Amino acid sequence: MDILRFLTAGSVDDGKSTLIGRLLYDRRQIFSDQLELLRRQSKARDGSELDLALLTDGLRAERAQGITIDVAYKYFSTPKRKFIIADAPGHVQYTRNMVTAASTAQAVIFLIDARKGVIEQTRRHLYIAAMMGIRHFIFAINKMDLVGYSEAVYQSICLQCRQAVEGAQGPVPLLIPVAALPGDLVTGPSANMPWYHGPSILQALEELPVVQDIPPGETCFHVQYVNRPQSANLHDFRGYMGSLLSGEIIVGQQVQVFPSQQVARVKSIRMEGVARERTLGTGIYTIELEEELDITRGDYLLRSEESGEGNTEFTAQLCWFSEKAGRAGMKVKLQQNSMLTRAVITGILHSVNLDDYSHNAAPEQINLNDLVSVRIRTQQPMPRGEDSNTASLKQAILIDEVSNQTIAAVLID
Amino acid sequence: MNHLDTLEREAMHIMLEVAGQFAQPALLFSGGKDSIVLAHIASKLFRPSVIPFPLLHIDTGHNFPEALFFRDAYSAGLGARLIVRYVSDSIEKHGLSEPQGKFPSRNGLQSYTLLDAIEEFGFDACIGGARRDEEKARAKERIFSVRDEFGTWDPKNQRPELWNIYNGHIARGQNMRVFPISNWTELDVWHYIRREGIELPSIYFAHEREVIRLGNRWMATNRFIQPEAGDTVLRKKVRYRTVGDMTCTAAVESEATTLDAVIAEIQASTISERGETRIDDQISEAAMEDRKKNGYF
Repeated sequence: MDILRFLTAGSVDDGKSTLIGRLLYDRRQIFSDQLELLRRQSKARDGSELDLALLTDGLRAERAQGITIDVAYKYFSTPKRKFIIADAPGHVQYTRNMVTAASTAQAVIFLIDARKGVIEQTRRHLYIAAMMGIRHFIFAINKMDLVGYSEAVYQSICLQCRQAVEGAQGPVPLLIPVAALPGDLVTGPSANMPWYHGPSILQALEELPVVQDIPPGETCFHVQYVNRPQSANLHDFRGYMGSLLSGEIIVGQQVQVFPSQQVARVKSIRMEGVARERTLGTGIYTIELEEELDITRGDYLLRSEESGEGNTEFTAQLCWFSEKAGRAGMKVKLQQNSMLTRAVITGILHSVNLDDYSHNAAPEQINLNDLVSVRIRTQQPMPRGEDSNTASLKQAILIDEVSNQTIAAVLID
Repeated sequence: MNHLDTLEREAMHIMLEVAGQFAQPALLFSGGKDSIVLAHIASKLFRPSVIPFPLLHIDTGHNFPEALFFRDAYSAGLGARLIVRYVSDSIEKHGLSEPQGKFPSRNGLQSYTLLDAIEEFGFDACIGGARRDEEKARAKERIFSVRDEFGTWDPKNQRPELWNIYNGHIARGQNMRVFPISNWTELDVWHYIRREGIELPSIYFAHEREVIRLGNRWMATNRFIQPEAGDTVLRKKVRYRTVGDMTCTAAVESEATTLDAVIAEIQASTISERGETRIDDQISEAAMEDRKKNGYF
C-alpha cells in the first residue's frame, strides 16, 4: 500500500465537499458518532437528511457561513492505497490555499458542474495546478443527474475541458462523469450511464501511477541539522543530518560543500544509526566527513566536480500570499529546503491574468493572490536548479522580515 | 514505498527541521500511544546519539498510574531527559479552581501548566502527537502552528505550508507547536506500533476493571470517580483506545489481549477514536476548536 495525495478544486456550488463526503462515506471512513452529528447538523441547517458537505467544514465560522475558509485534510484508504485529500476552497480570494494544497499533491480533481461546463474559475484552477507541476488531472463532471445523465452533455464538456487543459499546458486529463450526491461513478459503476466505460473516481485514484523514487542524477544532499552530541561515548562525533534529494553518496567519495566550495571525503553514512556503504534512495541520512569543515544548516553537499558558484540572481514565478503588497526593492528572507538567505525583489516583470492567461507588463505592486514573474537577488548563492531533476531546488518560500509570515510561494525558472 | 515508510520519513523530516530551526525544543510525552510513536521516531532518527531535546510531560494528577509507570520506564530506556510539570502547582500558583462534578476533568487546566513550562525553560517549539484525523478543528491545523504567549491558535491567520518547507520564524514570546504525525490515522499509528514492535502501557490491552456506565461508555471507578446512587457498578473486561486522564477517558469493552486483536477490534469499530473514549469532546460541536484557541495542543 502506498500513498496518493490529491486535491480537489472547484467552486462552492460544484459539489466538491459532497464528492469528498461521498468518497469517505462509501469507504466507511465516517464513524457512526460523526454521522449522527452530521445528521443533527443537516437537520438543524436546512432540514435535509444528511448533508455530506458538512464533513469538511471544520471551524465554527465555516459551519455558520457554509463555506470552507482554509485547506482541510481528510484521509481514507482502500486495500490498494492510502489517500490524503487536501480540500482547497474555491473562492477566488483563496488562491493561496489552492497553491498550498497543490504543492504537496500528486493529482488534482477539478469539479465541473455539468449544467455550466468549464467556467472562469476552472481556468484559474487549471493554471495553478499546471504551474505547480501536478502530474495527474482528473475532471469530475458532476451533477450528471441534473442533465439527465446525457452523454451528449458529457461529450461537449469533455471537449471544453481538453481545450482548457491545453491552454494551461497541463497533462492529458481523465474525464469522468459523476453524480456525487446520489453517488454515480464515485466509488462504483453507474446504472444511469451505461454509455460510459471508463473508471470511477475511486478506481482512477487507485490506478494513477505514483513516482516516489529518488530522481537519478547529480548528488544533492541538504544539511538540516548538525548533530554534535558531545557525550562521553560520542565525544568527537559530528554528523550532518539531512535529506538526500537526488543521486547517491558512497563512503570514500569526495563531496563539495555548497556554497563554500570546500571539498571533503565521506567518512561514514548512517541511516537510523545503522552504518552503510552507500545511500539507498531518498531518505534521511547522517553523514560524517573526514575533514573538519565549517558546515552549517542550509548548506548542500554536492558531487564535487559539478557544483560551481551557483546563482545569486534569477527569475521566478511568485504566488503572493500577503495582504501587504509587494514592490520592487522589497527585502525579504528566502527559504529553500533548509537554506535561508536574505533576498530582494529587484524587479516585477509581469503579472498573469488568470482569466485569459494574458500578461500585464511591469505592474507597480504585487497584491494578495497575484501570480507574478519577478527578478530576485539573494545574498547567498543558490545551487543551480535549472538542469537538475531535483524539484525542490526550484521551490522556495518568501518570509516577511518583520512579521515572519510566509508571504509568497516561489517557483524558480 | 510503503505508506508507513512515507509517513515515518515525513515525521523525521519535520523533527529534523525542529532540531535545526529552534534553540529549545521539547517533545510532549504523556505515555499515550501517539506520543510514544513520536518518541520512538525521534530516537530512531538521531541515532547513534540520544534525542537532543527533552521530553516534557504535563502531569494532571489524574493520569493513569500505568501510563506514568510506562512514561518513566520508556524515557529512561531512551536515555532521554524527562521533565515533568504538575497541574496541581499551576492551580496553586494561579489560584485556579478545581473542576467539580462527577467527572472533574483537569484537561482544560493543562494549558496553564504547559505555558508555565514553556516560560520556565524557554521552549520555543513543542512537538506534539496530534493528528488531523482525530477531530475537525485539527484537520485544519498546520504542521508548524504558531502560538502567541497565551498559546492561542488563530485558525484564520495560519501560515501557508508549501512543499516540505517549514517556516519556523517566530517573534519573542511566541512559540511553535509542531505536529509531525499530522497525516497519520489511528490505524496508521497502530500498524506502525506493530511493525516497529513498540511497547505500550498495559491499559491498551484488555484487563478487568470496576466500571460504571456513562451513556454508552464505561468509566472506570477510581479515587476521583466514585459511584453514586443509581450507578450500577460492574466488573468488565476493558481496554483503553486512547489514554487521557482517568477523569475524561472512557474504556472500551474488549477481549483483545494482543496487538493483533486490538487492531482487529479497532478495524471493526464503527465509532471514532475520540467519540468512543473522550467525554470532554462531547460538550459542544466546537469543543476542540475552543480549547485550541485557549492554548491547548
